Amino acid sequence: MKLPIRVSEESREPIYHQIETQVKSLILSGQLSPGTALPSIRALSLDLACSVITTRRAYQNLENDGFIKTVQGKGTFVREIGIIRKEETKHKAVYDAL
Amino acid sequence: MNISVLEIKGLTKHFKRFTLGPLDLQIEKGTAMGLVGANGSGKSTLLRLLMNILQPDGGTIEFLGQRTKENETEFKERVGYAGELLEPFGHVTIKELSSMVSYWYPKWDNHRYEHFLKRYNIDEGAKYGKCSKGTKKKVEFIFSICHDPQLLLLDEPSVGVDISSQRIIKEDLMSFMENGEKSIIMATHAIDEIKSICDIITVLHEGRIIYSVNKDEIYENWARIWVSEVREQIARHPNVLSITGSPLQLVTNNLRAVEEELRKEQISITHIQRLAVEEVLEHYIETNSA
Repeated sequence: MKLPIRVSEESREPIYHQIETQVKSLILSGQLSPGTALPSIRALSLDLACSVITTRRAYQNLENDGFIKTVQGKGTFVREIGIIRKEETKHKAVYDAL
Repeated sequence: MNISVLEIKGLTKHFKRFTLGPLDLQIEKGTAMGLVGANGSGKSTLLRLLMNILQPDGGTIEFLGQRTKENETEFKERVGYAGELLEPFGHVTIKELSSMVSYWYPKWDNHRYEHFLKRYNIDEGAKYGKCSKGTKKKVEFIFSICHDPQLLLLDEPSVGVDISSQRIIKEDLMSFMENGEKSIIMATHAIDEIKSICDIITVLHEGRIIYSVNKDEIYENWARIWVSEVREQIARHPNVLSITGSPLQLVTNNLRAVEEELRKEQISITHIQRLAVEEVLEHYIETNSA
């Protein structure tokens, strides 16, 4: 699957951070529902023309923040985020965006 | 966490007119490294030392924590190499070559081999020596990957290869890397290969590694900044690498630091542009030749 993510040449943010924020907002907005399989680290790197080191870092951070989980040998999936947590993060995402 | 597949320490090889090393280098599982540098900078020599086709004068090479020298058979069964090794066998057909090559690999997968022959449109009955340069490259590539190696060493895999086969090679390299377990070290001059396949760029210059970096760091740190004026403070900043006029612009390898400095000096920035990988590589090679 292909994610509607773009890394911007103009942005001051590091690439891994751009990926992280965009995946988060896709999950929070419900465009990526729980259980959805994410592209492999290699496939996403190819898609964005960035290095696996960068995508791996983004996925690791997303996993630490509880947005996704990696199942050994199966792939990476969107996690079920508690409703309260979702609201919280939504507020924070809006706050960050502003 | 990040396991290194190959670890090179102090690797050295002396020739009459050229010395490679001492080189220290590490490659992680799941990553692809592009070896770049001018002709004669030592890329192929490095790959040949790794394969023990050339014997080093000093240093060590470890593959998954084991010295390759003491475990040569095991190492070679798990590594794939494509780098003009088949030239002496020009008089035999590709079919004969394949039985010679596959003999050495317990894990050789003949279905895979047949699949690749078809995929790259190779006539197995042709004599290797009679094949075009691009076809030879494709055959070498096929031979290097049919035993499902852990590590691929490729010496300019796409030189002379037709455009659609180049795309297919790229696809095959991508599926080779897909599970995140395999690694590639690739000597190349093709900027497109670096951009689409490689994660780490390592620049060799006159036998030494002058630069080895995650390619995204290039994009994040290097930039050309157009400014209203340049003062002493800026001109002497260690991260300002060059300044050229009309319109006034400077090149930096640390955008953040220089931006900060410009702000402090209250110099206005008209425009910022990221440098392309090729510009940065040229810059490196130039400054080191000077």
